[in-house]
Amino acid sequence: MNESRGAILERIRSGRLGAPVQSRLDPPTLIPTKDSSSLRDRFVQEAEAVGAIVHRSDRRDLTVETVLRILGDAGVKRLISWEPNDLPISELMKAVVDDGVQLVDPPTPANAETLSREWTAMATADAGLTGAVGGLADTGTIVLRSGPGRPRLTWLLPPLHVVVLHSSFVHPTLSAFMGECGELVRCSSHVAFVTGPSRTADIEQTLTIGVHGPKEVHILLVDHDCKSIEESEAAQAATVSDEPGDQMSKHDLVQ
Amino acid sequence: MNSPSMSFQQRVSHALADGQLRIALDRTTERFTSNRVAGLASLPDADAVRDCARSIRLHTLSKLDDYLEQFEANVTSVGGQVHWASDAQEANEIVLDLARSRSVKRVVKSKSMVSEETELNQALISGGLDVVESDLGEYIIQLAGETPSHIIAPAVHKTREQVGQLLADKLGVPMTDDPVEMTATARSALRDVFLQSEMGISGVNFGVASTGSLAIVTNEGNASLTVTAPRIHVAMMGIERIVPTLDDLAVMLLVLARSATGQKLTVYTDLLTGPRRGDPDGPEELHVVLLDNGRSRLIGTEVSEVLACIRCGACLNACPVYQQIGGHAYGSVYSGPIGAVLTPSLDREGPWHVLPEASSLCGACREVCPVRIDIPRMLLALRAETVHSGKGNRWVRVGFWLYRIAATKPWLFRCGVSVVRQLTKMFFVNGWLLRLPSPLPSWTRSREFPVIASRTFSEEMRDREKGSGDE
Repeated sequence: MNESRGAILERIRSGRLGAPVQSRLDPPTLIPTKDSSSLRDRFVQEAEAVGAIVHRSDRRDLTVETVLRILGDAGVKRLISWEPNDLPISELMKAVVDDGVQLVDPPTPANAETLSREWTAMATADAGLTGAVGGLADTGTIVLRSGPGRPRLTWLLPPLHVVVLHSSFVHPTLSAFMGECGELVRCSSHVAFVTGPSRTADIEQTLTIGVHGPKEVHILLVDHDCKSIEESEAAQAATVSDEPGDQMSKHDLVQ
Repeated sequence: MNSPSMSFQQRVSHALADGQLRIALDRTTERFTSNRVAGLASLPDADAVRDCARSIRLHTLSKLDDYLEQFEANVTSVGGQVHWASDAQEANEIVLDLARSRSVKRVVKSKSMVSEETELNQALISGGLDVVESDLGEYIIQLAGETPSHIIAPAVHKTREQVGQLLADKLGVPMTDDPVEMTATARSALRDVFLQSEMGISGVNFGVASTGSLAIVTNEGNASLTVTAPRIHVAMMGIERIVPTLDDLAVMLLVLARSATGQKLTVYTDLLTGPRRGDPDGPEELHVVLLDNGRSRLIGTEVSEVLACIRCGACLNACPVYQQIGGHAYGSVYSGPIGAVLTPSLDREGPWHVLPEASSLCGACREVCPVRIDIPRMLLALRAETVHSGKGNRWVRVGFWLYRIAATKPWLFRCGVSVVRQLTKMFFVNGWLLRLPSPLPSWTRSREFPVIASRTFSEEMRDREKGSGDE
C-alpha cells in the first residue's frame, strides 16, 4: 500500500515536471440579493419549486402549533426527534409528546463506545423533526449537521421530514454559506445540504418522489427568537481561509 | 477493464437494430439536453462560472500530488484512513481485506463509477459477500445482470415496460408500467438492505483537500443512507477527484447538477468529514480508497485534460453518436465522448483504439462540458497515436498513402479526379452512389456517396479567371 502511494505520487511529480502551476480564476459574484426580506422570499420560492412545503411563522406558539398540525394531518404516531437542545425551539419536542405522539429513541446514547446497529425501531417512525443550521436562498436548500443529539437518520429514514429554519440563517448561495460557516463542515462529521424531497428519474426520466428518503419535506421558516442563535454566532465568528494553520486556530476558538 | 466479446462494429450494429434501446435513448437524451440548457440559464453568468470551474480543475491537476498529500493528512486528522491503490486489483483487495478483517457479510453500495471500473462487485461476490446496489438505476441493472449504460442514468437503455417486467420476474411483484409503483417496490426492498448491511460503499464526487471532506451527491438519498446506517463506510475515489477548498467545491457544485440533470443542486449533497464523533449514528470507521489505475501516467500528456472531468454526463447526451448507439456499444465502463478519450488513455493495452473513431468531431461535447474539456482535440490526438503505432485500419493507411502521392502532384491529382469521375458515372443512381466497390463498401453501407461534380473547383475558377480576363 505504501509502495503504491509512493509510486502514484512519483508518477504525478514526474508528469508535471517543468509545467507551471495553473492559476485559479476568482468565482464570479452570484449573490442574488443582500436584502434579507427578499432573500427569504427567494428561499421560499426556490424551496417550493423543488417540492418542499414552506410554512412561515413569526411567533413561537404559532410555530409549535403549525408543527402539531403538520404531524396531525399526516397521521403521525411515531416520531424521531433531535434532542430538545438541538432543536431551534426547545419546547417543541415536549409539545409534540403532549399531543400524543410517541417518541422513537435513537438506539444508544451518544457517547457509547460502539453503536447498537439496531435501526428497526427508528425505521418505524412516521416522521423526523430537526433544525437547520442554514438555508440557501438561490436553491431552496436546507443545511443540516450531525452531532450529539442530532441523529442523521432523522432526516433520512421517515417518510416525512419537518425542519425548523430560522430566517436569519438563510444565506444567498452555497458559496456564501461556505464562506461564513465553513467551520461547521470541519467540526461535524456529516453536513447535509437537502434540496426538496428524495426523488429519482431513473426509469425513463419520469420524476418520482420519495425513493429512499422522505416523500414530504416541511420547512418552518421562523422569524421569532430561537434558542440556538449562539450556534450561528459561533459559526459566523469563524471564517474559512485557505491556510490550514489559520483554520486550526479558529477551530479552537469556536470550541 | 474487461474486453468485450464482440467487435465495436458488431456492438454498434447490434445497438442500432435494438428498437427498444432507440426508444429509450430518444426519450431520455433529449430531455437531459433541454434540462441542462434550462439549468445553466438559471445562473446569472454561466460562462464565467464554467471558466472558473475549469480553472479550479486545471489548477488542481497542476499540483495534484501536493493536494493529494494534503487531503490524506486531513482525512487522517479527522479519524479516517486513506488507502492508495495503483490498479483495480489492488483496490478490490483493499476493500475485500477490510470486509474480511471486520467480519462483514452484507454490503450496500451507492453508485460509484470507480467501483465499476475495478469490477468491485464481482470481486466482493466471489469473496462470499452479499452486495446490493442502492441507486434505483443500478439496482435495476444489477437485477438484470447488466452494466450501466450512462454515467448518471445507468438504466437509461431500459423502457418502463422492461423495468416493470424485470421487477415482476425477480421480486415476484405484480407487473406494472407505472414508475411510481416500481419506485415504491424498490424503496421497500432496499430499506432492509440499508439497515442490515455492515459496510456501505460509496463513490466520491469531490474530495476537499483543505478539510479532508468527501462530497457525495444523489437525488434519491441512497448515498446518504449508505454512508450512515452501516458500521463501516468505504469511499472509492479516483485520484483526480480533488478540489482544494470548500470555496472551490461550492463553484463545482454550481455546474455539476445543472450540467447533469438541469437541477440547481442535487436533492442530497452530503459533506462527510471523518467518521462519527460522539454522534448517535453514522459510521464508526471511514476508509477512503484512492484509485490510480492509469490516471497518474496521463499527467503532462496530451490527454491530461481528461482528468478534469466531473462525470456529469452532459457530453453523452449531446453526442449524436451516443444518441444513436447508447452506452453499451462502447463496450467500456465510461461511454460517450469522454469515455472514448478516457478508456483508451487509462487502458493502453485494451482493444479501445477504435473508440476515438466513434465521433463526427462535431464539437457538441466540448460545447456542453461544464469545464470545457477539449474532447475533439484529444480524440484527434488519440487517432493520430493509433496510426503512428500501426494499430489502425490497413485500408485507411493505404488510402491516405495513395492520397498523399496524388495530392502532392497536381497533374496526378487531376488525372485521378477525371478517372474517378468517369468511374462513378457508371454506377450512380439519381446523382448518388449507393454501393462503392471493395475495399470501400462499408462507407455506403449506411450512407450514399455523392457523384463527383462534372467540373472541379479549380477548373471552374480557371474558366472564370479566363472569362474576367477577356472583359
